[in-house]
Amino acid sequence: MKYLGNKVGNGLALGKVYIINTKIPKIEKKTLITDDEITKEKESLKVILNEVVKDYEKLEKEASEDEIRQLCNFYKILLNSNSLITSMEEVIDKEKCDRNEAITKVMKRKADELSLVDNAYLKMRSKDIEDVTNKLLRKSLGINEIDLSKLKEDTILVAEEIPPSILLSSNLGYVKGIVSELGGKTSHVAILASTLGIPSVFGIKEISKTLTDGELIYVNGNEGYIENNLTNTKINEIKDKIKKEELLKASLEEMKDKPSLTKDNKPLLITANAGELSELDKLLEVNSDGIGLFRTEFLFLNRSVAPDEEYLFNIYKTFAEKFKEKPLIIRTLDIGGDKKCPYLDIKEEQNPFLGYRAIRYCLDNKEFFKVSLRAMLRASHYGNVMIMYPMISSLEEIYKASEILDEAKRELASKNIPFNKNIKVGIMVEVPSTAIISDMLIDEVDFFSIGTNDLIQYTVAVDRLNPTVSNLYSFYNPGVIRLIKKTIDSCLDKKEKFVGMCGEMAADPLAIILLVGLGLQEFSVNASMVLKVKKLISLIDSKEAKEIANKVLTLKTAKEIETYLEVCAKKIYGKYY
Amino acid sequence: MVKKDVVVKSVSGLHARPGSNLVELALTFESNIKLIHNGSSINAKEILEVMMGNINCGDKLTVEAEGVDEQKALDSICEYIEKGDE
Repeated sequence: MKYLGNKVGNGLALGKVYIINTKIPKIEKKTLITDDEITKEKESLKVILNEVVKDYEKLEKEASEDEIRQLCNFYKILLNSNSLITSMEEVIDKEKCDRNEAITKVMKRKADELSLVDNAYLKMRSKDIEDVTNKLLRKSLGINEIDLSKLKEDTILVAEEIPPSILLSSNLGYVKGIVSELGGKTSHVAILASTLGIPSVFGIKEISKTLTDGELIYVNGNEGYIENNLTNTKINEIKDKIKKEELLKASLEEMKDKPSLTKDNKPLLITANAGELSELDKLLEVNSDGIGLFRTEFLFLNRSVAPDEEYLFNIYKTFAEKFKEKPLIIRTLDIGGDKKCPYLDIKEEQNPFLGYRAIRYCLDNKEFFKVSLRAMLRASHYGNVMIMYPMISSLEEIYKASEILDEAKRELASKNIPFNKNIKVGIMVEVPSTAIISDMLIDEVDFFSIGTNDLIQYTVAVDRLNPTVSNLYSFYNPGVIRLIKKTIDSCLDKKEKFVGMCGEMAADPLAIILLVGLGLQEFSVNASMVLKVKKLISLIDSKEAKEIANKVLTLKTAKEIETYLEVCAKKIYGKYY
Repeated sequence: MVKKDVVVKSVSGLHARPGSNLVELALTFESNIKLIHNGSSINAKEILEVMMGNINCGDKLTVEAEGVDEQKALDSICEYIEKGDE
């Protein structure tokens, strides 16, 4: 039986279910009578806090991943807090209760306070506090911690909610997968699982009650489902798939220093998507051909005032200098009513994805827009910076944006501030009307970047996060493919111009064959996918891919296209697919 | 008591790692260290207070230090907050 959930990623796994229950049993309340009892209780509380701090210190030292070290460090500092200990002691003094009660009360208060602050990050952190509370209580009650280092065979952890602390252990060798009922793609556990590369699927309702301990299940973190009651044929098929994936993984390291070429040596650009400062090291490590999509939203969110030019310039410059002559495509702000930004005048809307967002807002707020544009222009003096406008739906918008950009250029020139006067400017092609008139738009810009996530949503009219209709969202929808072909064709024989794609489709093994065949020149994918895409492309012959693409254009349904590409992929990728 | 005004440079504000690091730094001094943010006073040695202060990039803070090593504490804390992510 197949159960669908949210894909957290990190590959495929096969293993036996281990249901984790970290709930604390109901604790009997104890009332203290004598002063002596109270003093002793407070002393024992300190001992427990101290021991847990030591546990975290040990985990921090043993951790091989930075992410985990940081979390242990946070827990350690949290428990070392003077006010935390004082508050717990006060509770014992006042209520004459035992240490468990004091721990529960004070920690709950702290978690509640955190979850009240209007900040997604802090809300997530309040979960961490629950996790620490449970660890304190287990220590206090003498309940053993779940020891994953004792596992002897491939295991899939299953829980209502996986506490992040479970993943802090340095002995996770047999933990092959993670499945949970709660938790999204951006939860702390999801981030840790990705750091550790453990295939995970979250958000499957009731799954910890549905599965039984010890049964064999298959976890597909890439597509977001799990499967149980596996037949022998199916098990062998899965094992084969996992083996091929491992083979592919093992072949990636050597791709780092190789140029991005198809099998018949046609050069392509394989760039990365970026949107966090902390990703910079990872981005440099995979040695991509540049940044195909630099999302700037993170610089604008979680702030009380708009960022100033100097600040944006410094960050863009840091990236530009690191990537040198490689393209750094910076996308101007792509924000709408779905994201709160207190200093932007965007009201909450019924349908923010069809509303006042991205370039629409920026064109109306010229001075605000120019701050970003000037920062990008100034950074262009230090590297190969290109500017990209999101959500373009008409030629007028391009004209208007160019006018504002010219104004920004004149302002800098009048102050003798250096910038690249021939800076390349492009647009995202993510609105169907833009794809349809792409042949008219190409004369006004230097490049296109097809944003498939939105292009598919807008073309098929489907919200891919809505599970009842998300099956309509498909890379292989023939209407979507025609729009992609139209966009690529508009650009193909234009000198000095190029067409790329940013969006999950550019990393899909089946779609890659089609896209190479259609003549796509740049593939911008997540940093973790760069080497994989480079490897897959190195196995594709562009002339063969062109024939495949021609055949795909004659097929009438998404299913037919997918099935056909699946056959082609098996042949082309061979032992890697 | 010594004090100084600073602007937060770190992209993630004083949440996550920058917040933890600030508290660890504050703990190395004997002086009491306060961050005055939007009129409220935050103890720089208490991670939860720092986090709940919801201090974001671009925010203005007044750092106050009082104690035997107050000048050194003030200088280090201000330098850290102004340094940002680099």
